Amino acid sequence: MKKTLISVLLIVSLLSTALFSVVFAAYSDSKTATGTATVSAFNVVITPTDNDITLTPADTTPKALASVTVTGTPDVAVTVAYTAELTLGNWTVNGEFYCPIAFTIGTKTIKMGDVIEAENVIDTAEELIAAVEAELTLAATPVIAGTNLAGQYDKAVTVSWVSTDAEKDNALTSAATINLEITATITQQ
Amino acid sequence: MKKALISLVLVFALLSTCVFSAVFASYSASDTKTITATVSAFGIDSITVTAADIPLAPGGSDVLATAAVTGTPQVDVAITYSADLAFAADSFEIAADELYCPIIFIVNSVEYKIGSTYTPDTTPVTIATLADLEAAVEWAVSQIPAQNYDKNTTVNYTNDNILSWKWDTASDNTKDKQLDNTDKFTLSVTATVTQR
Repeated sequence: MKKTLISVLLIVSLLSTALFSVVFAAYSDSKTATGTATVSAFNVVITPTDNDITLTPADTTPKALASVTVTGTPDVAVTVAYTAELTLGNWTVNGEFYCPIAFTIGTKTIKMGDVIEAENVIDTAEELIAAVEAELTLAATPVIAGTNLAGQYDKAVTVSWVSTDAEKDNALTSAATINLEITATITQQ
Repeated sequence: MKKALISLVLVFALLSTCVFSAVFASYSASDTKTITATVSAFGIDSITVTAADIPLAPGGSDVLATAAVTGTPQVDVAITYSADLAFAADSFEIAADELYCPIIFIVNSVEYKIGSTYTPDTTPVTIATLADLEAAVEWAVSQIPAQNYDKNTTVNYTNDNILSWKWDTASDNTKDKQLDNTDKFTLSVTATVTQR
């Protein structure tokens, strides 16, 4: 009797297992995609160098005044831009502007008396300042991601004494100053 | 001897009943019903999930994963999602092991980032670590409401934005520049179609 009961329970158990299997069996399908997101490194280093220098009529060979170097290979597209602000203080003799200084930027030298566009001659302080600032200025220039910037966007300014009048040279004092501010701006696009 | 006789009579009686039955049973009727059981096809033709390799940079934002499901299931189905987010070791650590992660994940228009809170049950949880952020995003994806389709409905389902990211617009420019391509995460997204 006991064996019969166990057998019956076993059969019921098997039947119920089958029944529940039917209930819970369901269609299912899935797909997985995997991606990796990585920070794009800016990787740009701007190194400014400024020098406090003194100039005399004997300084006929160029002296480094200021420079900016840009290095790095950004993972992102960037723009490179330069602005410059030149201030010339007290370069006046007998009430007239007199600045016997030549500014060399790259391969270009700018000084009073130079002929610039449209045959204009640099004969005022404003024109000398404008010419130097224009040579240093760079409008925002697009650079594609992954470009090695080293050596491509550096700026260096040297100055030298290019005397035209010894008497006026002697009339200048230490109040005559040159202040040059160069700003390089690298911006992610 | 008496028992044997009784048994013999009983057997004879049974046999004769069969014989008489055969002889006298003349009416007959029958009816047959045929039932055909057919497997209902799952009927999902394709499940496509995309998760592209993407660059992260200040000011950026993009969709991280999309999904598409097509078919005509012969059973009721539901489309659900799960995600596995894993930041690379030491990711988004800048000087002095400071955690700095300007990445915001967006699921169902809700932002998940370091410092924000979410409520997976009854208690709000603050996301303080990258492990917390992983857990929060995975939870959020699992909570995307299931897309249900009744049987024999044509399914042409697309989800163009399961989750997305953006660079925090209030990020610190100086710290942003300290991050590089060692700072990254891997995201796996699974779309599952299940008979319901």
